[in-house]
Amino acid sequence: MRKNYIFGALFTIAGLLIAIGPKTIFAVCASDGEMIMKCFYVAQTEIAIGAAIAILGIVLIFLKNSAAQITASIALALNGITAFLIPNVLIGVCKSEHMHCNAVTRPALNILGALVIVLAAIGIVLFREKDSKANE
Amino acid sequence: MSNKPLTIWQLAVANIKRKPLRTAGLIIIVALVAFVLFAGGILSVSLKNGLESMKERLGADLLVVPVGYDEGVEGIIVKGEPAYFYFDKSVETELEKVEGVKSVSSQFYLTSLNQDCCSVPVQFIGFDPETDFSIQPWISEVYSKDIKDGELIIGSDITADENNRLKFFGEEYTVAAKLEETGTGLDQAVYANMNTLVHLFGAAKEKGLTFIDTIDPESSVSSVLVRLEDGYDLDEVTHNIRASSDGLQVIKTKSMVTGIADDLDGLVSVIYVFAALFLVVVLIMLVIVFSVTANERKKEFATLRALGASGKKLASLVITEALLICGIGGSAGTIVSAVIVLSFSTYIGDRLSSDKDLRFIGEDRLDTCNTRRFF
Repeated sequence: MRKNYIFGALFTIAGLLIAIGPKTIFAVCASDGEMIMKCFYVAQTEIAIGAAIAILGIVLIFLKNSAAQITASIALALNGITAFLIPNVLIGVCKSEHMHCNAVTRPALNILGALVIVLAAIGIVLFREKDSKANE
Repeated sequence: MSNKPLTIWQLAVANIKRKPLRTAGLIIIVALVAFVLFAGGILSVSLKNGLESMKERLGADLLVVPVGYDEGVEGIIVKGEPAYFYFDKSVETELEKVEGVKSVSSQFYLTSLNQDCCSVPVQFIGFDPETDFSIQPWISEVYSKDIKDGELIIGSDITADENNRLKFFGEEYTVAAKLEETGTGLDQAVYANMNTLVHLFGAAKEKGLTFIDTIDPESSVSSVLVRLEDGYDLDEVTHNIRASSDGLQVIKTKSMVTGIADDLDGLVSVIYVFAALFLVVVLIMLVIVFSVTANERKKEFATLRALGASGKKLASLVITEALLICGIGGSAGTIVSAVIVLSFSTYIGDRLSSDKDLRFIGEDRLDTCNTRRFF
């Protein structure tokens, strides 16, 4: 099976989880309607980042040119870094360790963000190998 | 061009690469076993460590609370589930006189509302610094020398702002010290001397939060911690306390911890049994898979034999392949397990202690449990 199919599918799944997860599976803290906590904005922002990762994943499936595949992988790595930084540095989550956003959403996003970065790095190496083999 | 001899290692790597699907399948199976065993091991070890620190932290032999509130105090200690209940302060003086009692120290419980962004209801525990033997020995970080009026000591899970201040009921308090982590509910509590607690009680009332209308914080306490004189038996002193006064519930801290230990032992045994069963099933599966593939590769082995490979070399080739697969799968499973278990350690700990509470406290208490609202 072509490598970009496998990588594209994995990025799409990870992107969808990043986009939908903070609202569903590993949801941020429930709001009581009066007070909006900052983890709410983490969930909102991750929708955009996750969607971008999923779309780039789908695009990667259809890309045949190695240079384009490498470019897409670099863009995916940057999105993965952003997905990781949002709950940790850029916006942050609630202070208490026992709040759901801190105990569940943040580690889940960290793992998914790290997964996207690692997959993108492996992808860059593999697509470069393919490129250099084609040039020989 | 130099011709290097083909080693068993090179041959094993080439064989593994040639059958990527079979290799991936086997690696996933081994990774799963490593995942289950590692996660089970970490969980059982941390459960036991948490219990040990709770045993040390309590420092008291007996806990005396109003009748019917034994479950409430266990909730505070085990999970940090906020609760409050009171009886008359004179109980402390009465207990001091009971035969076999070495020292007593009273505590006063109060709970907060959600204060601002991100703070959950917390348990306030008021204590008398003069008599206390269960809180001050565990101070790990000191920000100011003495615990003055208006200052707080915080459990390890409570985070103060950058100026070491915390806001409750609209007023700011300075954090004077932080306690060591215990892995129990005591990490989620805020401690203060009685004068500060009386002030907090007043501030809470001003904000419209009424705990129990008739309670005067100056003349009430929630629990009394009791240490026994050497040579006295727990049952004997418990009997003496019950005889000295009505309306008191005496909890032996040792039996409370032992009760939890029994529960944990059960849980740990279940983890071990599942892990062992899983390991046996997977081992059988791996043996079958390797022997079936060895049978399939008869032609390949015959060629190798014809090329001069001894029977011993063929055996070491199969073993090297198996070791490579197990090594890669085992490392991958352990790393993934460590990342997941360590990342979600707080959540797993909270879930485990809330499951224990279900058995401890009963369904009726769950309706009023605030900290569980996010799960």
